Amino acid sequence: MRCCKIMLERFQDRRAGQGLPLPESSRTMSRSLHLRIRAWVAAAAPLVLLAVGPAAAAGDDGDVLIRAGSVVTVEGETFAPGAVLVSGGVIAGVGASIEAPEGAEVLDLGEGTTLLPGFVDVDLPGGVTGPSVEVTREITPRFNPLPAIDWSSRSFVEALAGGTTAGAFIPLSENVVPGMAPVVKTAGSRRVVEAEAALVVTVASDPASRNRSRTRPDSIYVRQPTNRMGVVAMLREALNRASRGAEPDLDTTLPVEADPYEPLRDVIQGRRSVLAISRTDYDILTVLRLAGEFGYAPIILGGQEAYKVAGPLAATGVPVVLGPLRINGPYGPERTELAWNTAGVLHEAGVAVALSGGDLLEQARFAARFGLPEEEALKAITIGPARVLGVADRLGSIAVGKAADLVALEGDPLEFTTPVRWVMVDGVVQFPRPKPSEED
Amino acid sequence: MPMMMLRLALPLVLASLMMMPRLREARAEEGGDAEADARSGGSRAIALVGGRLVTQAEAGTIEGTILVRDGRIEAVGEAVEIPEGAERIDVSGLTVTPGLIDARSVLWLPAATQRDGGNDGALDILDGVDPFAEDWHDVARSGVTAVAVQPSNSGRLGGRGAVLRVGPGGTVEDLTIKGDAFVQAALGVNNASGNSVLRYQQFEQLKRTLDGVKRYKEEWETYEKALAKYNEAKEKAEKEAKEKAEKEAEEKGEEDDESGDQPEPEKDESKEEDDDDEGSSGTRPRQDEDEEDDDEGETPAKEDEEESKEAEKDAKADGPPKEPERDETKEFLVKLLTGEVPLRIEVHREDDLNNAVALAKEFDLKLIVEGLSEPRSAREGLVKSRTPMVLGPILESGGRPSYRRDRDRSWPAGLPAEDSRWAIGTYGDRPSDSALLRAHAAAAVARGVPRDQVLRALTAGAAEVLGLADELGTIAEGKRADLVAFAGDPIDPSTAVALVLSGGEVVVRDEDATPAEDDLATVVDLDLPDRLPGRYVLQTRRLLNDDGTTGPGALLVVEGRIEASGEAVDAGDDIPVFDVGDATVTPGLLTAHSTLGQGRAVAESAGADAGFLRAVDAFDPTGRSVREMVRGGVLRAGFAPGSGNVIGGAVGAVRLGAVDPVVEPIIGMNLVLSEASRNLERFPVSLPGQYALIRQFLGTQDEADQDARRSLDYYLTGPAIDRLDATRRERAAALRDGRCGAFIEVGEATEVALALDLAEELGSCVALVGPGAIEEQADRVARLAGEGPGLVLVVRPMPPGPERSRRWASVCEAVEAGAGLLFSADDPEGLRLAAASMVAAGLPRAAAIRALAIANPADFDEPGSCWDAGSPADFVVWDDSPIDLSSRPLAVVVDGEIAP
Repeated sequence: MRCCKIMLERFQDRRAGQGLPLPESSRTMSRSLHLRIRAWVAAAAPLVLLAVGPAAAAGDDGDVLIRAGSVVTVEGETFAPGAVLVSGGVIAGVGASIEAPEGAEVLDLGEGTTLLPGFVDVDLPGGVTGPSVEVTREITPRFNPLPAIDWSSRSFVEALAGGTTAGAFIPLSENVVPGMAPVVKTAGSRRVVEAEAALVVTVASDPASRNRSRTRPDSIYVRQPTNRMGVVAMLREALNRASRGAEPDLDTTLPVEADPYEPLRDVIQGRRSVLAISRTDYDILTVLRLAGEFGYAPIILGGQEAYKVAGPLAATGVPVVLGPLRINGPYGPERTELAWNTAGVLHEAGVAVALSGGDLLEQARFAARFGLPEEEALKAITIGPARVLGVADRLGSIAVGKAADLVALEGDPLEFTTPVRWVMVDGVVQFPRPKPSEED
Repeated sequence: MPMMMLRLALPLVLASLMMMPRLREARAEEGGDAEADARSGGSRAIALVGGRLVTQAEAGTIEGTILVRDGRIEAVGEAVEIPEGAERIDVSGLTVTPGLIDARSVLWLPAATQRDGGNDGALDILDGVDPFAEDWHDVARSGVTAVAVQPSNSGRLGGRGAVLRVGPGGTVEDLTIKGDAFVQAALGVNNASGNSVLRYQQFEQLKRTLDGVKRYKEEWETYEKALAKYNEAKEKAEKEAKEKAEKEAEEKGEEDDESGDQPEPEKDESKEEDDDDEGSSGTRPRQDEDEEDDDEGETPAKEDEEESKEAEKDAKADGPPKEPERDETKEFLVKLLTGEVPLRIEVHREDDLNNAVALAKEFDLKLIVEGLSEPRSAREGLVKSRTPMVLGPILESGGRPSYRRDRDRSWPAGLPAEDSRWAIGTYGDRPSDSALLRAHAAAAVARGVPRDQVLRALTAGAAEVLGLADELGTIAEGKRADLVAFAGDPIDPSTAVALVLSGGEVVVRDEDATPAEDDLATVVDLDLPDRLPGRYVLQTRRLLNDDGTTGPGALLVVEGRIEASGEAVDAGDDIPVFDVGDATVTPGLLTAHSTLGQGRAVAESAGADAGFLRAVDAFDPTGRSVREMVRGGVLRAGFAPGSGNVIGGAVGAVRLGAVDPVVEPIIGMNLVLSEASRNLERFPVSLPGQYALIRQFLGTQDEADQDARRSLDYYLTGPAIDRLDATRRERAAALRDGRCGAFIEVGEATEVALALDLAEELGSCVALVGPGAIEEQADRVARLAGEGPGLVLVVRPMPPGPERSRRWASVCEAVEAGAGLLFSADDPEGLRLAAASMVAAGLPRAAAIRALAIANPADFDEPGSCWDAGSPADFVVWDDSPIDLSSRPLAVVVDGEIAP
């Protein structure tokens, strides 16, 4: 565990000395589900942003003023026309019109254009060298795909081209506790946003699908769990061991982790958020039940059948991150029954919804087309996922002090034919990619 | 009604079809000039001035000028007038040869085409060509300008092969130098190696196929004869009828005007067309008859009717002869029987070769034979008949297929005779493998095939084999302007290519390729006894120095050790002196990180952390690859544990061929971040897991936490585990303190990044084995190379291609920045080829020699030195530089004695 910690610290060092605050959401999480979780549903006090931020006046070198037909701040009001001032990679001002400070570069997008905050994908596809899960043991809470991320991977370029500026890498669902999800940027020089944004657990049949009870006795394929019930049992046992401070179970935890249960204890104590991979209605209910037993606040990841249990989800205030859109037939190992308007149904019931799994803009367009209100569709790919990952203080909306991750679109963002003009990460336009001569 | 429309539409369609070529012409005229100018193959002439021209033609080797215009060689000679406006390219000091030809390649073929074979000869390789593939760049850069491609040998009779150019693609036509160049066949290659029944069956089946072609040919010949006879008879009858009619008309009277005669045939024709259109399609026999026509059962009857009507005469009772069924494949294969197209047959064993020759005799085929792994007595017939041969691959990379397993070590030496027509094929699996053609050629030279014959096989010989002697293979007037300028010996794979013209177009130009100062001719007659005495002096004009150069020198060897070295050594009169003349004498070559084929014996399978093991404890000094290494002049190795474990154990330095092999049991620890050590059956299976395990092994956490680490995961008793763990901890401590190095096996960019993280953290020298995708982090590599305890790159062989080009370039940069360099391979030729390809990519020759022959594995981050007094007398006598793959060890000396 120690080595993992150091490993991660070293990544944090690369973030130019930024501290690593615990996710806002997890700090505010209540210990019991009987209480509503404030972080998710309670609307953050809308930031009324007046014309000019303090930094803008300084007119630093490298300031950029962006004017657009409309600026959708997502959390606050929409300015049409609007302007955003970027200074030092951070948003320094938002308003209907901002005077360009001296020496600032002015990007006038023109009429009809839209400026959005960069999209945040809870489940970024691809980009990891080798398997993104340590399947040799079932309880690997310290596992983190971060060291295996190929920063030059093409999947980052693809995500960026679609407007996604940040997201998390989810360890695969083949373990009962697959590990930690780090949040990273899709471009730029400081890529790691949050090394351990959330703990991922699996409450589905995936971990059992590989294990068989009748093969070589020394093979991992012979081990538990071999069924979904076993998955839940193992997760419960791990949480129990963690809460009573037991020695790690050598058969289920990694030999390199001295205290593998620490992240689980953090979860139980409400200091760390949990992403639970579940797809079917009964699995989702199991997630809620387990969370109730141990008193933590989960987030559903996948949730293809969440529309069937929208009531309980709303009652407990558990948000749902929907997996990638699959509209042709039953999906996944459990033959999940899909609905066209899962997102809309969940929203109507009062469940916070985020979309994930790539092609976020297309997913938001589909969700809006089938019933999710337009402004909610945009939130579901920006501030929604940012809150889920506990990075809403830095990402997810256009607000003073947040990172200047912006997407410029040629028109209505939810119109299927609207193209992306450029994507900015930390104040630098990264898509279309800068020419090598301009990079220097 | 539809008929009416058709009648209207048809002329329109026809008219537009006829217009098309004209439109195309017009377009070509419009844009033609610009295009022609853009391609240097256009009207602008190119003059190559001042080169040494190996023409491969009657002119021999001359100093002179080549003038190229319109993609052809316009003039060659010592006094060629260069027209005004011609582009002059200075090739002085360079050796210019005809473009090299790879007689068996998969360039331009996507993977699916490479695998495709057949048994009925229906395939045409041109249908499977991808003219947009980019692999040609690397092939052109090696001096190859033409390749022969064909269906795979998975079938007995695949179909047509072709000769393609190596240059910018675009369309298949642009690439094709010669289509239908030969027909591919194979005997005894697939599923037949050991089974004589299957072997015979294949022969019978191939024979039956050819029989079918022969029957087809005869059927058509019979038909055509009969048809001619029938037509003759018909004509005669018509003539008679006409004469009769004329006579009648004449008899009628002369008052009729002439108008009747002229339009009559026209009228007839139009009438025929009408008939066609009116639904009786297929009523007229057509040359390009298709299936629809065959379906008309009543055709012959109608035909007769029509014929008789047209002729206005009673039909002959038997009518025209029935046309045999047409078969496009056989139609083409008939050309085999007429000798227009040769049959290119792959046979490996004597019996198959005899069968092939028998087939050729029976069907009167022209043969090209390839394979020829074990021709034995059948060789004589081949040589006598001067049957064209394609030989290859001469270097085997990786597993060789069963049918090539029986090849002699010296193959193909002794196979082609002086006047044989033969070519070399690379037989690669990847399109860019054709870039290894010169490596195969060099290996042929090293195995004893005369150098001039090999060069001929790459050029004029190959052209002759492929039936392109008028087009390729020589520098002579009128030939295709495929030319290559080498900065040295064309056969030596380490020679850089300065210029390549493909069809008159400059496709490669490297201004940095300067001629090497190497004097070529060093034919050596080594006069060493089989057993060397206890004390002797070895004298040579080329003794390797510490800086990688060679110069006159001598070694005094006493009882298996080097006692003294220098330009002249002081020895008594009674000590025998062996003068090896121009032969190069070097220490034994070094493979810096290899399992020497003993990977299984030196890998722990119970757990991924085997830090307590030492590879040398399992070293087998008589293993097969060890013997191969010694034979090939490789006498030193960093003997590494297998790469199946993340922490494999200690790498040791060993001497190969020596009685006392272990030099240093621990020179570094073997750490594996690449895919090789990921294993589903035990921890770890992921890269983060590998990294975590290495960090746990190293204990790079603070010391206080050391005891908190979990102990080893082995089924052993407590005390045993404790002992192993203590050893392991001691090794980790040595690594942290810089007492030994780390060999980290890497591949992907992410793995390299993690290895560099470890290098930054460790106090020890880190060697990147691979060296992995260092091109992705060139800056970090350069920085680490320049500072700290040092970074060493252990270069393993890589197949040619764009990835290798990038990798080699960044290795060269890193070496310039101060990184150490070592080579590693599991066979001597692969080792030297890695070095040679690196030199061709721009690494200074001396640096390559230092890495190959001087570096000391026991102290691998230091430059090393040779001929230290007191060191074991292990050295190799070469007929030229070991970097040149065409040179070979003349004598290998271990402990002062000639190795067996």
